[in-house]
Amino acid sequence: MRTQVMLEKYLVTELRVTGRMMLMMVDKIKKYDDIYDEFCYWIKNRSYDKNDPLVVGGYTAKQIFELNPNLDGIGVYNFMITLRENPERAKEYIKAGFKEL
Amino acid sequence: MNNKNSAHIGDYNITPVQETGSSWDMSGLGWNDGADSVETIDDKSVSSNNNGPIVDDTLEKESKKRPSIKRIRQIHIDYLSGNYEPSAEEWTWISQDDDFYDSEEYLAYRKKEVDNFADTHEEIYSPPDEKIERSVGPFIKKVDDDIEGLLKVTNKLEKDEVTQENVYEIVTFFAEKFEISDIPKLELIYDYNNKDTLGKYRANSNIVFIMPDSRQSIAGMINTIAHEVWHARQHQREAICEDYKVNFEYYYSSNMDYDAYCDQLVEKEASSLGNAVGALYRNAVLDRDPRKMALLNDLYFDWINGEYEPNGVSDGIEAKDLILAHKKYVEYNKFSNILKRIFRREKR
Repeated sequence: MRTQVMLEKYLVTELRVTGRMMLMMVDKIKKYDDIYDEFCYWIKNRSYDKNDPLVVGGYTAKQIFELNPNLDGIGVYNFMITLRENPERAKEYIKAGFKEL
Repeated sequence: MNNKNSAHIGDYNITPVQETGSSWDMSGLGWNDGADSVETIDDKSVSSNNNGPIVDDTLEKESKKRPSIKRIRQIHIDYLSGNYEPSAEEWTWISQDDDFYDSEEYLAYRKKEVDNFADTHEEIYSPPDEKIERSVGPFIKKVDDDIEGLLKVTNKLEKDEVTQENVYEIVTFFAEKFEISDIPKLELIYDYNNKDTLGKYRANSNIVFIMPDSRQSIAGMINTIAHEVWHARQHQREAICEDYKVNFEYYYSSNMDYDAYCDQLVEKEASSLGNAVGALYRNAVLDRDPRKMALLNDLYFDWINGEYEPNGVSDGIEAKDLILAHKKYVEYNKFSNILKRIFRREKR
């Protein structure tokens, strides 16, 4: 319970994501327990440094953040989900440098 | 007291204000599910020691302040909706409500906000390619049908003159092609704080922002301009296009979910169109300018010798451009050699 409240505070108070968008983002980030658990660690500690970090598609969360420092915490872990579900697409994004238009 | 929901401590009775189900849990500071009511104690709890009665009003204070579980859940939902900021005390109660996520209140809220929404709006957040093609295809064709016009307005950019005026000519060109009645204004921004952002569109002031980047090719910049002007078209059609309206209201930002950002309707349309227009420009230049063909032909040989890697990002050149350029260069030279032989024969 407290973990989800912590997640809600991060989304609603910090990122100003509320209502429908917030619920959709919560649903997605909770899809995989290992990714969600490490994301909760990040919310609590605000650090990607940890012993035995999760590796998805060859990348840790810290490495993803270093590739694109514009990603917020939830953005890093959502990208881990992309690496798991669509590795080819994720690698195209990395190759293209996460361009934004 | 005959109220079956009341409890009895010594000579004092504890009675709920309303009798619709709320009752005081004598095992501790708890409550049972009930109406939205505030419970009070008729009188204080009293104990005594040798020095006389000791009045403990903790229970009274607690019960007077703590709202019902239904009220606490409503506070929590109002917070999640962005309509209310709980106090520190309310946060404590919220955190203690372990059954919230299984409660009727939360499940009803979820059903209203998400469950029905997700089912009916799948084509906004993961639109099929055919839907994108239907939207942007006709406008790509319009640009293709006026490729000379595109080359004319981009000619000054090729001479390294990235100015407000030159870029605005291109904005106007695309606005006309995309049938935008309210042509957006333009601002060029240098040294933008996010180096990976090449363009933005601000709907409330109808401004296209372009961040010129020396690492970006001209084809890349044209791609960006077309992309942002297309966003202007989408915003100007929100009133008549429900999909655009919904997507702009529930929009995935790139910093929170990069894949969802790229895959949502408004971005996927704009990217598809921008990429196509950039490619039209690149191919048109290749067709018309032998010097560019020669340059790309050189790069082709560098590539097959492992000395150059086209990645489509920094210089806008992809492998297929090099292959096409080499092919055209060979054909061009073959033709030009034929012409030279004819000319030499005529000379004799």
